[in-house]
Amino acid sequence: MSASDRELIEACREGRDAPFEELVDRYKMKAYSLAYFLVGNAADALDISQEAFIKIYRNLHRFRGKSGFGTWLHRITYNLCMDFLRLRKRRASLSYRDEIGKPGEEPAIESSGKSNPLKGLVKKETREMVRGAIDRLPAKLKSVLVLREIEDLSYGEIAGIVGCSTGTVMSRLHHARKRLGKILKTVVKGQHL
Amino acid sequence: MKCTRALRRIQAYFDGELPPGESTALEEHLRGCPSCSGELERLRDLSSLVKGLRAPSVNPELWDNYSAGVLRKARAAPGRRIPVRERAGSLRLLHPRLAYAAAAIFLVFIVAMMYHFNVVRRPAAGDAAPLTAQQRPIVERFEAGDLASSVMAFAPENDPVAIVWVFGCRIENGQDSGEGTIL
Ligand SMILES: [Zn+2]
Repeated sequence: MSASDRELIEACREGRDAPFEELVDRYKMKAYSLAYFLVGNAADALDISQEAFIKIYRNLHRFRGKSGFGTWLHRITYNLCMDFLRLRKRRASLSYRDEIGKPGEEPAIESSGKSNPLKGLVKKETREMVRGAIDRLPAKLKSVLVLREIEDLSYGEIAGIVGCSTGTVMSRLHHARKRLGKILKTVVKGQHL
Repeated sequence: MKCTRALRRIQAYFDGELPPGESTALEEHLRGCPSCSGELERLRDLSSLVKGLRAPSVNPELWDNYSAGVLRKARAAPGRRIPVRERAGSLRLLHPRLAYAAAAIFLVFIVAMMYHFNVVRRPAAGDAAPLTAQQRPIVERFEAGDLASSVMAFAPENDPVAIVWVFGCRIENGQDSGEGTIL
């Protein structure tokens, strides 16, 4: 049976590194994924996710466990991404770096509702359009949308990560969905967006 | 339930965040209202496009070295910031001209305050003679060649004090920004 996050953190506090590596392995995809959708490219997302773990390693003694390790990691990753985006905006450097990812692998979009006219697979181009549209949203709207739809977190968890009330989460989510729908309306056909 | 009330609840209902009691009332409304159920449909369609998105997969070798890399960097020089490429050189002054303007305003303010609090002795009433060069406080400016930083000094002749302002700095590769000239 594998150790719980809490047990691993306790072991890390005793000065052992192997449990920390296990924590990193457990959560690296989550940190990378969140950073990817917030900053919009894989190379920076990897850098930021690593930086998040480094921050955690140096602050393990501060972890109280009121919220889970995952929430803590999300919060730190989110803050690093916001810093990064602010800096990037200031520099107005909009050049995207080459993707590290392998475009060959195409994860299928999992259709959720029965009424979904896409019935399963969505073309790669559509996914790219959706991802591009998300990337065009203002950072505050983009983050709640990503945390809700992709990371599948509750309003309460999102509020804890972003540092606002659940009411604000709902309002931002509403605006994010409205704007995303507007952007996608022009490119995706056959949907009630 | 009216449509306005229903519309305010649809998103929370869709996200599974509406209390069960309210959900039942909303569901009842949705059964009889094509407009509101259309709104729910819209949320479903949008969500189906976003939900399944995944970050691009990363070269497995990068993942293999990932946690070891984290540990190596975390142990190196505790407290030191980890350089993210985009952050390099972020200490560079973005608006040197604005810094000059701020410096000038600040200097005027400080000098005014010094007169106000008699740090600099005011000439006695009736003493209309202009200050000699010896008596004037030194206000000088040191300017770096690329307008990235400036230094100002204020030293009243008769007081053993000097105030020095440094505005803006630029640190790159651990080197200073180079030569300057005293104006
Ligand atoms: Zn209605």
